[in-house]
Amino acid sequence: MKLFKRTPIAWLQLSHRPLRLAAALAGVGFANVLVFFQLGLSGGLYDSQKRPIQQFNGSLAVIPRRYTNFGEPAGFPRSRLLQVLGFQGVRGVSPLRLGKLQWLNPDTRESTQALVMGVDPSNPALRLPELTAQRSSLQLQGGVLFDKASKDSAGPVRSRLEQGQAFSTELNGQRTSVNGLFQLGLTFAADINLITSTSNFQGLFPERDPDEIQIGVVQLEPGADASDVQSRLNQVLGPSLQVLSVDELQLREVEHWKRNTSFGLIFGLGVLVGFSVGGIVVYQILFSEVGEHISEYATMKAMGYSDRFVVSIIIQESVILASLAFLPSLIVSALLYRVLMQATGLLVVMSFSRAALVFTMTLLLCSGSGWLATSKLRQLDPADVF
Amino acid sequence: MMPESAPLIEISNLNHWFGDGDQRKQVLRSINLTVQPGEITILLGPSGSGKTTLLTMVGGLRSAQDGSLRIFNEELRETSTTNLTKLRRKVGFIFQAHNLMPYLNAQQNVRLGLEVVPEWLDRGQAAMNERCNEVLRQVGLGERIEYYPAKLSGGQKQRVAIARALAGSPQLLLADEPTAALDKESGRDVVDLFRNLARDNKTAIVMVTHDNKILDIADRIVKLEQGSLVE
Ligand SMILES: Nc1ncnc2c1ncn2[C@@H]1O[C@H](COP(=O)(O)OP(=O)(O)OP(=O)(O)O)[C@@H](O)[C@H]1O
Ligand SMILES: [Mg+2]
Repeated sequence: MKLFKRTPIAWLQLSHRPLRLAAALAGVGFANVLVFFQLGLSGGLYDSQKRPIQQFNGSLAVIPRRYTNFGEPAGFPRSRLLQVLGFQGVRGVSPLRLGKLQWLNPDTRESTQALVMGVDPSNPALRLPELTAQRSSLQLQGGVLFDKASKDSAGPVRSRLEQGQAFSTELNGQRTSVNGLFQLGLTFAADINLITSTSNFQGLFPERDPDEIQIGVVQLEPGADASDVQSRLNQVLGPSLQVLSVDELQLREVEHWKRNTSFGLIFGLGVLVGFSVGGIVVYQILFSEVGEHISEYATMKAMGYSDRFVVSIIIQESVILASLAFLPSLIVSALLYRVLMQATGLLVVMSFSRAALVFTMTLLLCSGSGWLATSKLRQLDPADVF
Repeated sequence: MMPESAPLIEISNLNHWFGDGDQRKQVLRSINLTVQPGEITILLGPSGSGKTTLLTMVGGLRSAQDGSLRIFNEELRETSTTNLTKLRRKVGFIFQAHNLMPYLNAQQNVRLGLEVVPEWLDRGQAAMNERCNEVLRQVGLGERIEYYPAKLSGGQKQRVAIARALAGSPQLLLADEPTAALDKESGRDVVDLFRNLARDNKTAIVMVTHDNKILDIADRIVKLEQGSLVE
């Protein structure tokens, strides 16, 4: 390889001025962190919408045709779900009832929207460990379990329960006690999540038909082909219902919120700003690098180095800057994500694909800036310097 | 390779102007000059007479406007940029200003002169470093191999630049006042190097100088006066 025989001019030039190199790396790294921050927040907002569905105790979900999102589901008769039982490949079904109520903070008399999930205590549609552990609390008459991630406007529910005290309030005008806690995480649907038993759910929503459910979670026999069962169920259940895999339902939830909110655009702009900052930093650094060394580049041309070679030195420098800045900014961003997750309760996690995306983008952007910075070099006539 | 007798430089009726319109000023007037391999030509002339201009044109750094300029049997007026770049690799050029890379040490600076020659690059790092050190020793800088230009005196920098031009043993060496920054002794050493190169390697050398003490190495002395060549 000729590359390894050559003097590493690009690196020597960059490292000859360590302070400037550090400043350049800090600039590019800062831009990366900015981009990661924006992607983390917007990704977190949308990924968080998946959380209840991620906890479904099964691999398929039956929903009505008119389903839009988890917070506003239409209902269908439980008997329709029971039709699925005994179907080849199906091991069982769990109905999930969903509804929204006003929760009254007894201290402030402030009310907050709460999402109530009604599950069958002996066969819950959600896989939360707290449900099995607190099955008897779940069955207590007139009680609910409370999501620790709910907004503080709900009142000091969590602290009271953790101190072993009771907490009760009014839900839809009915006296309700909180009998336990669970950890799920909020969605756009409501600021409080509650889980209760089927019979308590009926008590909270007396106007509803007791047979009406919102989602049917289907468990499959071990070894059953999920997509095969899905398509057969879709045929049998007819046009009023649809059967989705749990993954599809998660995607659909994310899609719904992407369509109906403008976070994508807002954070997209932020990402653009971040990348621009990185590009401008690299351009500035390399542009002045070119300007300072112009007569030396002319000398190289005079010695017989081609335009391409001379330009490639600058491109190499931009790639070095992008690469060296990446790892530290990845580490800082991962730490930042942990802080963000604690502060916002959103699901903010670093994914390989996001890291790869940001790295590729920085690399492209930096080399683009490098290319722009070489305009002087490409026009450079060696004779003009002597 | 070209036949032994073919001249390395052939200039006929070369004219050159700088500027446009009213500013247009002729700096070279119907220059004729032929240089054979192994021949040392010294170019004299007052400041501003066009010596550097002529030298940069011969080295393929400045394109010819009028007349004919051939080096290595190729007409520079008609050749492509790519070919021009390739021709420059066969020419050792010592510039009036040293033009060293400040971020490279003496050895690395000399290596730039070697790496541009494909045959040298193929021989690998060790061989190239060996050669660089040898040439640096020849110009009296054996002790300064790892010094950066900022830590070298003017004359030492000039000698690194000379080593850079000599490292690849070019067939054509163009030197623009190479001994200007040197004392009598190191100037003499450099001139001896030139003479050996011309004798052993059949290198054609064109050298601009104001230094009367080194005129003795010339096979021929030509003089530029207001753009015209007088023998
Ligand atoms: N790039 C240029 N544009 C316009 N005029 C130029 C340019 N380069 C040189 N000249 C002019 O051409 C003339 C010859 O310049 P040149 O550099 O060849 O002189 P020289 O003989 O090398 O002088 P010196 O001994 O001082 O180095 C000078 O009058 C100079 O002003
Ligand atoms: Mg000159």
